Order: sequence, then structure tokens, then C-alpha cells
Amino acid sequence: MKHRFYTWAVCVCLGLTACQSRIEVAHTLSCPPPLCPDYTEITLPPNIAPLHFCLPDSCQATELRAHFTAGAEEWEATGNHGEVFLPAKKWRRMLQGASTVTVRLLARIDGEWTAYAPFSLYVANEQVDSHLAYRLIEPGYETWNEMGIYQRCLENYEEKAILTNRQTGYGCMNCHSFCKQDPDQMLFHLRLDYGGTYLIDHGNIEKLNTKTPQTLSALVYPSWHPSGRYVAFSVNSTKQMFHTTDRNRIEVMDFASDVVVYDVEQHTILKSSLLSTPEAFETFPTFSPDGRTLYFCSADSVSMPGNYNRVHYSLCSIGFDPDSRNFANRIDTLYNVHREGGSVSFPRVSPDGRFLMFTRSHYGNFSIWHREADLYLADLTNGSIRPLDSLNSHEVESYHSWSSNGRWVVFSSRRMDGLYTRPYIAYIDEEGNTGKPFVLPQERSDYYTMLMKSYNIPEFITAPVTVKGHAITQIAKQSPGIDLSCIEK
Amino acid sequence: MNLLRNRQQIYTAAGIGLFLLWGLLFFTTGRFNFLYLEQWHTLIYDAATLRNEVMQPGGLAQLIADLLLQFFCYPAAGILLTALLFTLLSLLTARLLYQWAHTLLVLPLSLFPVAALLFLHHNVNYFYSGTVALLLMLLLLAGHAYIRTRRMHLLYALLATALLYALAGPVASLFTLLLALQAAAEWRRTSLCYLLPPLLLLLLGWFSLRAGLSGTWQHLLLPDGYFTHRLQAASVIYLPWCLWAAVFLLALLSRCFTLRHRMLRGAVLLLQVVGLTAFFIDGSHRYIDSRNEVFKEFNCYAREGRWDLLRQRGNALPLNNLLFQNYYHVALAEEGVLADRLFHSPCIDIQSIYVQGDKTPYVSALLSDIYFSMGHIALSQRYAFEANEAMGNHSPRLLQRLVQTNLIYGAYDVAAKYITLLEHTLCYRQWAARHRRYLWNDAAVEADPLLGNKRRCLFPDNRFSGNKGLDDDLKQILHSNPSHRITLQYLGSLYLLSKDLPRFQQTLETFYGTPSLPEGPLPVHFQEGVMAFAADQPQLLEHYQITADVRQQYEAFLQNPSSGCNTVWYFLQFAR
Repeated sequence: MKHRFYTWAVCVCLGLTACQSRIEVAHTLSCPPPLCPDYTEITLPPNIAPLHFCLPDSCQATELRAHFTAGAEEWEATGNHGEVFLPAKKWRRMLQGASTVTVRLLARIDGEWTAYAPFSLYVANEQVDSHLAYRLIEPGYETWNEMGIYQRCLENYEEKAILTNRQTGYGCMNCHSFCKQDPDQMLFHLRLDYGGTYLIDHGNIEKLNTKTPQTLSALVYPSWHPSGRYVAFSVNSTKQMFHTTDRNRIEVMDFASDVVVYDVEQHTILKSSLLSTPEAFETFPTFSPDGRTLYFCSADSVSMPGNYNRVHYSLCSIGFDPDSRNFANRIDTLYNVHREGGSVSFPRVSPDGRFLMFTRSHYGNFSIWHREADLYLADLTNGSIRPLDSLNSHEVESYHSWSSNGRWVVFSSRRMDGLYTRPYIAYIDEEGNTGKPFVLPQERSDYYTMLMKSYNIPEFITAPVTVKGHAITQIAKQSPGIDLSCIEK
Repeated sequence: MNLLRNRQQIYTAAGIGLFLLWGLLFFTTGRFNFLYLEQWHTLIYDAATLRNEVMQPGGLAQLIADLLLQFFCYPAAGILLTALLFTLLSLLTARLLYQWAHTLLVLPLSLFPVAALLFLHHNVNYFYSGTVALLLMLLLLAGHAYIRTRRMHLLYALLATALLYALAGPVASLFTLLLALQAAAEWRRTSLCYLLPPLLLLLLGWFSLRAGLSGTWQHLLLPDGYFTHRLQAASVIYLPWCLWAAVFLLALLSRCFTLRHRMLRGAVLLLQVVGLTAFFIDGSHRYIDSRNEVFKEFNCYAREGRWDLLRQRGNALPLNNLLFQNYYHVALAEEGVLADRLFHSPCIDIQSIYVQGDKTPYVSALLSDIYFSMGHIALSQRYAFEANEAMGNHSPRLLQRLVQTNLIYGAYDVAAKYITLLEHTLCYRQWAARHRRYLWNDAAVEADPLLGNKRRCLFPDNRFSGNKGLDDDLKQILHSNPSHRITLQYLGSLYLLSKDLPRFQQTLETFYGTPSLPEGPLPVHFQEGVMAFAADQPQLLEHYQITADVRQQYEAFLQNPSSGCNTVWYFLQFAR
């Protein structure tokens, strides 16, 4: 009796499945579906987690079905809670077996099936680094509540905290940075309680007291030297103000700033008169992959805050000899704002040293609050500069970083809602051509709508950070910190 | 059967009595407390959000607390639900005390810790989940009594400790303490095994610390875990736990004494009742700040836009602190009588109409209200955002304000996000759905009496908020939206409170005859202000139509200054 029941149950299930797969399409549309998030025509790394997507409520779809075709193989995914995705195993098999996946989405609207025009997912040969590190924080004004530096495995949806401010007395933490995407060499700052810069080198944690009498402030925006021996920093005197009617809500501006280099081994700050002139605001340093050039942004210093919209940062560089710790005596200008207009921030050189990506806004340096801010790419071999149109949107594009193999970039964008920053990943080939970017996939398509925090400073890392937050907390609470000295070079 | 029925009736009667008692006490100590608490957090019905919440130690207690808290937006719901919770706590404690002491004499003791908990509920930094956690703890403690064998006792104790830590958080410490007390009272060699649950708890705490769930032991194992972590918890947070431990200890000690004499038993009961009354009265004075309760009341009226009630209540109270004055003056401004009644309560300076921000959520929320009234949408949005952030991002009141400010600015994408969030709540989904129609619809926003009026306050000449002084921003708002009279009331009041008569005069010259200050008699305090700078200029007095009453009062004031203590002149002359 029991056996017969199970047989019937299996038959009924199979029958239902068979019925489900027979669909009569009543309408065929020539446009691709308006996916949320927009994953149409994007270029994906073969090791990315499955994409979850749905149609917006305005489509009034009651049921979804997606047909994935990759070469000779086909998969079908049915809508689960209004969204479509392929299970991880199938997804991985599909991406590893094809360079193009065609997706045809069918939606049941008003009881009838509508077929949208198929769209493609392009699968690159090159993998993306396995993890992404970022800070989660509200896109706030002057206060903060809970925040933390997190790491997310890009091959699935696992997110883990590296350190949260629950562990550190709810102070601010910021500016996490890695040496060549190496999770074992990182640094970040803690402010207020347990304030200092924390430098982690293969499990060894150092707390640094980075304010010296010779520098403007504690160390701020970092960039590692490829050798891991130095870190370039800016030192900034920064203020925040709030617009009344401007399309940008907030203005963050430097009243003064310099660039210095920190010697990790000697616990010494190296200062050059060329990088700390009172006539200029120098900020956002970054080393070239060979470690012999230091790029930075520089603007003529003006009285602030009255002239906040007259501060324009050029892209400059200076030679650096890592052996002698000396700077060259000449500054080159790669992007001269007096000639080209706008203002440059966040220069980042590709690992092969050929390209430099930067953010360009109308003025100032805190581009995350500039809705006009876009990404640009400079070819360092011929000096040509162009906007990355396929990456840019009508909203902010700002912070960005390269993957270790140089074929992927991650950048922050506010294109979803104009306020909350989300990480977008894009393919970039040897010639600097970019694919259409996609937002970091999540386990649910409405994840970003419900999330009340911004992704800040997305950085690729080649593996997870293994140092425990608890170990950092212990050092933070127990160590008085190492005082740094400063040398004029 | 009759005995059983009688016992049920006794329990029911005791339950009803206690429910009424707690309800009455909550009503008298501060009936707006729960309405205020609800503003801090509402439950978002989203699987990922709920999962994250439940996965934390104490997650179930937090979830149950959130489920209850969401209904507190309805009048009296907070009092009724919390009174019910307190009744259950009282009955469970009483039952356990009886089981431990084997005498009915100890039953009134059960009310001591619950009364102490009542004091905590008036502290906005206390988490409601702390009370739910105590209920879960008492339930598991009651379950322990049903286990028959000693070996199973210990196993249950270990499992319950782990379960309680996972579901209810630090209250597991109290649970292990009470179990250890009980084991010590029934001393056997095996009683030493009851040191295992605390050790297990320490181990779980250590793992939690290593996993980064908290930075301190006290948030994991002590009542501090049920208090805003960013603040140092006041000692009152320990009071209920200490009292729970104390009454159970007394129950155990009572076994050593047998009171046979009826008089003596009566005296013990009377002593407890008197002690309880004294404890409650003393604790109410010590731990419930009546000024906070007034602040909560004002806040709730402001939220509901019941300005008349706020004004009436303010009239009946000594408005002796800045927060009261700020709320009262918003009500006057919204009713259009700020410039007529500002000096009827003692004013200190400009902080009497807008207090300085101190980055706490209470003051930030208040400032958001004030700036919204003024028509300064940028600052209203800023303080709403900061207050919401400090409250954990799910404050329904501030999310509503953020929806409004973003609709006013035409920032529809982010307004849609907040609307979606509110649509995932039980009590605000209809409000959110109603506001969907404004998205990407400038015409609808501009036609709306509130949103449209506030949108017209956005002035084209952008600047940094307050950089040229708030007064300059307010003037820009008036140029942009002359019909927004509240702004002018605030602007004039601001100059009078800062004793800046030249600028007050300038403001009148600029705006008199415009829709914000139509020709005709000025508001009373503005007339007084005119008298202060133009008493000897009859043509100006005529121009501003200063009434005979005000002129006579001014003459009277010059003769006898104490006759005009509610006037601008008195403030200008005597206020420091």
C-alpha cells in the first residue's frame, strides 16, 4: 500500500513537471527583460557566484522561467519567490563550459506567458580574485553607528567580518588597504578609542601612532609599495559641510594636505618638500607596480571653504628610489586640470603598469559625493586619456581597484538609488576595453534595497584575510602603539 | 477536581490582578513611554534581516521583542503588552519561589525584581529584549523542576544554558547562577556538577568573543548586553538581576524557618507588601525621570502633529529646560503663534527655539522636526538621517521623514528605497503605499499641501547649511517661498532671542508687506520688538501698525519693568 502511494506520488510529480515545462508563449517582445539588478549583456568571470535576478514589480509577473543556453547544453531555472537563479553546481558547470551564455526569460503576466528577447552573458577566460574586502557603513553625515570591514567570497555569498567596531568600542575604522591584493599584508586605521594605524604583516600586528609634530595629521589615504616595505599616505586636514540645494548633499574638503611615505621596517615617515608644499594640496598617493614612481593628486591651495568649488586636482608623479629612500627632484603632470578641466582623485595603476584608472569630477577630491564623478583610463604608454563610458552612469562612480591579474576592476557606484554605494565589477582587456559591469551578486535580488549601508573602498584580495578580529582587538586594547619618527628627504 | 478548579481560579484572579496592577503602574509612570520606544525601531519583514537578527546570541528574544514593539504605535498597546509580559514574569517567579521555598509566604517577593524591571523600561537605552529574555529564562527554569532524575537535571541544565545563551543572550548567566544556588541549597556531592553550566557559558562567551560578536565580556554575559552598547550602562541595569538572585536565595533560606504563628505570618506578609510599596515609590523617584516622560509626551504629540495638545500641555508645565522649550515652540510655530507667545515662557537664548545638536538620536530627531517646520529641508534631512542611523536604521518615524525629505528634493530613487523598506513593515505599509504615488511625479509632489509647500522652500542659491548663519538660510527660504510664514516667525524670533535689533528691523523692512508678513498689525512680540527700536519714531510705529495696547504696555513697562515679564522688553533688559 505504502509502495503504491510513493509510486503515485512520483508519477504525479513527474506529470506536474512535464506540464510545467510546456509553455505557450502568447507574446514575444523584441526588447530584453528589465532585470533587477541589470545583468543583461555583462561579462562575467568564470568563478563568480550565481546571479539572482527578478523583474521589477511594475512588470506584474506572477511566474518566471529562464532558459540558459551554453553551447549545446541547456538549463532551465524557474522563479523562486519571484526571482530566478541557477543552483551553484549547474551555474559553475555552465560558466566553465562556454564563453557565451544566452538567456531567454519568460514571464507570466496576466495569466499569459511573455517571452523577452534573449540576452547574453559573456564569460571571460580570466578568473577574478576570490575575495572582495570592503567597509560597510551608512552614507552618513557626521555621525556613525555600527560599521565594520568585511570580506566576501566572490565564488559564493559568504560574507565574514574582518573587524567590526562592536569589537573596538564603536569607534570609526577606515582606509583598509592591501599590498598587491595580498590578504596577509594589510593595514587600516582606527579612530577615537584605540586610535592608530594597524599594520598586519603575515599574522604580525603592529599598532602605530602616526601623528608626528612634523606632519599635518595622522596618516590617512594609503597605498602600498609593491615590495611591502613602504606605504605612501596622505595627511589631511579635512572638513565636511552640507549643501542646502545642490544636487550633491555633502561636500568633504581638505583645508590642507600633504603626501608622505612610511617606511615599514624603520617606523619612519619620509617627507619631501616637493610633496608637502604650502602652495598645493597633495593627496591620494599610489605607487606604480615597479615601485619607482609615486602618483598623486595635487591642487593649488586656496582659502577654504569659500573656494571649495575652485579646487581642481591634477594627476602628478614623482620618482622614488626604494633602495635609497629618496624622491626625485622633479614632479611630472600627467593630467593637467588647467588644460583639461575637472579634478582627479583615486589614481590606481594596473598591475601590468600600462593603465592608470582615476575618478574625474568637476572639482574637489571627495568624489563619492559628486554625482557627476566618472571613471577615466589613462594609457601610460602613450599618455592618452579617455572616459570609461561603459562603466559610467548618470550617478557617482568613484573608488576603484584592480584585480591581481589586471583583468577585472571593482568600483563603487551609486547608480541604484543615488545614495547607497554598491560594488560593481567589470572586465577590462589588455587594450583597456571594458565589458558591461555588474553589481556584486547576492543571494537575493532585493538584497541591496533592504541594505541600509554603503560599500566603501572595495578591494580585491586573492584569498581571505586570516588574522582574527579578536587578535587585532587585543593589540588595540593592550598595545600603547609605536611612535613614528619623521625624516625630511 | 474542585481543588484543581479553585487553584485555576486563584491563578486566573491573581493573573488579572497583576495585569491590572502593572498596567496601572505603567500608565501612571509614563503612558507615552511605549509610543516613544516604538519610534526607535520597527520590525522589517525581510527574510535576510530576520535571519541576521536571529543568528546573533539572544536573537530569538530580540525577534520576539521586535514583534511586540511594532504594535506600540497604537495607543495603550505598549502598556497592555508589557503589562501582560510583566504578569507572566510575576506569576512564573511566584510559582518558582513557591517550588523552592514550599511556602506561600514568599510569594510577594516575586514582585520585587519585576518592579525593578519596570524602572528599566523607562530608560530608552534599555533593550526590550532584556525582559523577553528573562521570561525565556524563567520558563526554562520552570522546566527544570519537571525533570525527575538527577542525571537528567544536569543534562537539562547544560542544554538549557546553551540554548538560552543562543536564543536569549546574557540572561543565561542568571540562569546558571540560580541553578547553582538551588544545587547548593540541596547540597550533595553531585552539586559540584552545577559548576559545569557556568563553565559552559564562559566557553560560549569565549567563542563569541573570538568570533567578533562583541568586544567585551560584559556585553555577552551581563545585563549590559541589554543596554545600548555605545553607552556605559547605569547601575540600575543590574538591579532586576540582583533582585531575582536575592529573592530566590531568600526562598531557599526560608526553608530553614517555620512560621507557625498566624500573627507572625501575617506580619511577614505585611512587611513584604510595605517593603514593596516603599521600594516602588523610592525607585520611581530615583530611576524614572519625570522630565524624560514629559519629553516623550511632547515628542509623541509632535510626531502626530497634535500641536494643540502639545501647546496645552506645555502651558500647564514649567518649561524649564531647552528640550521642552524647543518642542513647545515648534507647536507655537506650527499654530502660527510663535511670534505672539514666545516670551510667555522663560526663554534663555536662541537655543530656546533650536537647541544645539549633540549627536544623540533624541536631539537629532527633535532638530529634524524643528528644521522641517522652519522649511530648512537640508538640515531636517541631515538630522533625520543621523538619528535614524543612531537608532539602528529602522526607525519608522525617521524613515517616514526621510521619505518626505527625499520626495521634496526629488531624490526619488532613494525615496523609493525607504518606501520599500516601510512596505515591509506591518504598521506602515499603507502609509508607504500611499506615498508611492509621489515617486517620479513632480506634479503630485508640488500639488501636495505639505510636500509641495516644503519643496518651494528649497532655494536656488546653494550654500553650505548654516555657513553664513542659520538666519541667512531662513531669509533665502522666505525669498523662495514667501508664503511659508513659519520661517519668518522663526527668523524674527531668532533675532529677538539673540537681542539683535538691527537685524530684526532689517528683516521687517525686507519682509513686511510680503505674504510671509502681510500688511496689518504685526504679531505681538514683533510689535514689541518694533517698540524697542522705534519708540521715538511715530512714523515707523504707524507704518508697522503698532496697536495702542502694545504702546500702553510699553509705557507701563518703562514705569514698572516687572509688569512686563512676558515681553520682549523684559527679555532684552533682564535676560542674561
